[in-house]
Amino acid sequence: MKLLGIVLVIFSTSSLGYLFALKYKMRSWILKSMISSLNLFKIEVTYSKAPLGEILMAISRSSDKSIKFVFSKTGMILSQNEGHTAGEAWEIALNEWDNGYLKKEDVEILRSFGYGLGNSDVYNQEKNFDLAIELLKRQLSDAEEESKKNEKLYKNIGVLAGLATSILFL
Amino acid sequence: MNTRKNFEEVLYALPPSVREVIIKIPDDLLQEVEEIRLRVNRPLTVYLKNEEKFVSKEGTISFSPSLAYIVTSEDCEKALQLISKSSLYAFEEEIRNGYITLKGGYRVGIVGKCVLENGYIKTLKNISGYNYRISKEIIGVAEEILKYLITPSKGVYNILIISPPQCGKTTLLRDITRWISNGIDFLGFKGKKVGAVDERSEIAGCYNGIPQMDVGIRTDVLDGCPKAYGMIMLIRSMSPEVVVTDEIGKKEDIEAIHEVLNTGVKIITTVHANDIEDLMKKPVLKDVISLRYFERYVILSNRLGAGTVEKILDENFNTLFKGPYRRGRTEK
Repeated sequence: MKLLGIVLVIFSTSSLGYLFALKYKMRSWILKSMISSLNLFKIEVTYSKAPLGEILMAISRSSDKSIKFVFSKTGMILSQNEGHTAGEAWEIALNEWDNGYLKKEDVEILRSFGYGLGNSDVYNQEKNFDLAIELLKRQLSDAEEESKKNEKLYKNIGVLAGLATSILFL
Repeated sequence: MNTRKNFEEVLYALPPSVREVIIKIPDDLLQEVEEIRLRVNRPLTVYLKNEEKFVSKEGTISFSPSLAYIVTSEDCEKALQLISKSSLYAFEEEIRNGYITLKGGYRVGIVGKCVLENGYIKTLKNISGYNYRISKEIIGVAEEILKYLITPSKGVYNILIISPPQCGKTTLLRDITRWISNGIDFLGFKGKKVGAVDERSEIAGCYNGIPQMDVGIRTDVLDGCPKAYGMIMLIRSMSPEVVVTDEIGKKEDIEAIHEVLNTGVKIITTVHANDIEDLMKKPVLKDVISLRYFERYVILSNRLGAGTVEKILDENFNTLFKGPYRRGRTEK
């Protein structure tokens, strides 16, 4: 009986530890997906020059599910023709997006990217994309470093806390 | 609601605050509106029944600017994004030409500050004025005059439509194109392969390459192509029996027409002028008349409203038909 209790305690605390660790992993994952989607987005805008609404829908189909929402929502708002510009639609989508894993700075980069979306010629659009991608890449390397440091830490804390609690109970 | 096809596309392209005003205009007046004009910090105006009038916040139309809705600079900024569906990068070429075609074939003219590069217009910025032109697709305007445009052997004459601006020449050209392309049952005329060079996207109103206006079942549209190149290109690529193009005037256009006629292809086109005499005064176009390129001249005015046919002349400038004649405004 006691043994089972110990196992349960250790199991639950280490899960908690893993959960915290996951948070760091997810941030990197989302940033990575965002960078690759923005790259695709950039190519569509600069090369195919298709209307933004169509591009957004196509991107949302090929995006990872963690970030799909931003593209599909922006595209949807634009297709409703309620008089929103792309920048406004992107802002609305970002605000509704459940991005608990991202840091505030990450979201700010995306937000300021939105201000320039669709309102200039190809050359300037490209610059806007490049800037956002460059900044997100920096965030990514920062996130990876952080996650390397903290992932192990939280996992270990989880297991050790479980062990400590069990020892106290014994 | 306006019964014009895809009229909502015009509304979608208006900034929300202006859109609200426009939809308050009573339906019967809205039907007549030919242009909606936005000028920054100045009253919102509409052009209808050959007059420019002001629109108040409540959607009433009057001659007094004091009650009118004033267009803000935010409106103007937003309009450009809405017109381009937030895809300004896709319209660089159009902006350089000063207009953008909307879905539905409507056109918006723009003015602003020109940005020059090496003496060429690179783009427009600080767009301060918009002219939403609500083109009309009047199916059947040409019906009554078709019999003058078809040869006894059921062929087509080379036709020149002469018209001052805003007298419905493109509408007439489009309708003639449609009839010739579809065939005219009551004259026993079989449809012909038509190639249209639509340099300014006015004839077919292409949006993403798809004609938004009905230009007939046998019509191939070369959209956004300079007329002179386009006519030759079409003849090589699509083997049309009739070539249609709008607003000739440049020297190279005339040369291209000459080449088209040499290949035996018929041509239907339009030109800006009041009448034949007026045309004779224009250096480039004089030759077109004196060399007798065309076999039928349709002269338009707006005496009875846009689309009034004044005269139809044959190749020797004899009057075949004397107007003014105007088909009733039954369809818009």
